[in-house]
Amino acid sequence: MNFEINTPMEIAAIISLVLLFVALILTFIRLALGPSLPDRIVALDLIALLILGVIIAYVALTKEIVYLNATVLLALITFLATVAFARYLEKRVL
Amino acid sequence: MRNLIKMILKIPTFIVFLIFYIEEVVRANLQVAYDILTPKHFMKPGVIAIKMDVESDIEILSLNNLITMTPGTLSLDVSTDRKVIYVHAMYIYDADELKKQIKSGLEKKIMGLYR
Amino acid sequence: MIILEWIASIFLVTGAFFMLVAALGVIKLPDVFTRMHAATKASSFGTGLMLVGTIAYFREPFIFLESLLVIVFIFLTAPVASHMIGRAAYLLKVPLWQGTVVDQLHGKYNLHTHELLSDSPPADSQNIAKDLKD
Repeated sequence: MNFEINTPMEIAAIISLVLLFVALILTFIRLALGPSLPDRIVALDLIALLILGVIIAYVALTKEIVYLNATVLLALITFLATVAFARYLEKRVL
Repeated sequence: MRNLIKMILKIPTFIVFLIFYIEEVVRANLQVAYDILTPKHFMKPGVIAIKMDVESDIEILSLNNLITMTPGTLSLDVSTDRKVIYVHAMYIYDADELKKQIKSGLEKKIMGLYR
Repeated sequence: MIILEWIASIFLVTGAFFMLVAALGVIKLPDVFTRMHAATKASSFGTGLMLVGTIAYFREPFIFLESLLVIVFIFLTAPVASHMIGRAAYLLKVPLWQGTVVDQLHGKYNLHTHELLSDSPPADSQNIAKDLKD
């Protein structure tokens, strides 16, 4: 992992990484507190999208475009996981 | 063959719809950001039922998507007989007014796109 | 091409800002449904803006296609996911915020079959539900 902070894009990537990590901490607080289970599912969904944002910022910082493939997979898996969780909760009510 | 011509004729409508969609998404996010970043919140949330005129699967899916992505509204569920859609809204000052807005604005767009 | 790089940087930072707004909303707003407003809209919009930033920065056809695919996928699936969570939350009887003004979904779910009625249940449905329980 070698990069220099010179161009505007690299500065922007560093700023967005900081913002995203603050957002991750806040979302983890909601995941821990969440009074009900649906609250926690919302937080998990948001965490997955935030990690997707971290990957994009990392790609913009180091210019290793191979990692952009991970965003496709993460988007697919997040959706499936959220739907599966919600479905499970709904069936458990019966 | 006729379907193909119909689809090609729909392309301008689709582009207009796409621009409308992007505009709505940007407005929705500016509103959400404003709501969250200003300290005092004067929300009036609630769940309202809206009768749908659209019938087919793809139209209902598009209406759901559009309602969720437009400012202040979030679609919760569609009734089993597919006649009513339940919408959670952030600001309900007048429920009937909001229903009329969604029916005349969004549903008309969907009908214009698919019919 | 330095202008395009500046534009891409602005898109990237704006996207990250909107994701921070989503996280703040999830912390601050009072109940599940209002939290879903923030989590669904702001996070998908933020991801979309960041991907547009990468498109404008790299300007390669493969990256364009891949990022466009992810944007379209996220914008198609985010409403479906929020729909599922909302349904599960209402069936689990998660309390709505006390400031909620109107709830027209109240009493429309059949808690045994999970059917959703389109208007008020008939008067004798209470008895039917009781019979099912016995």
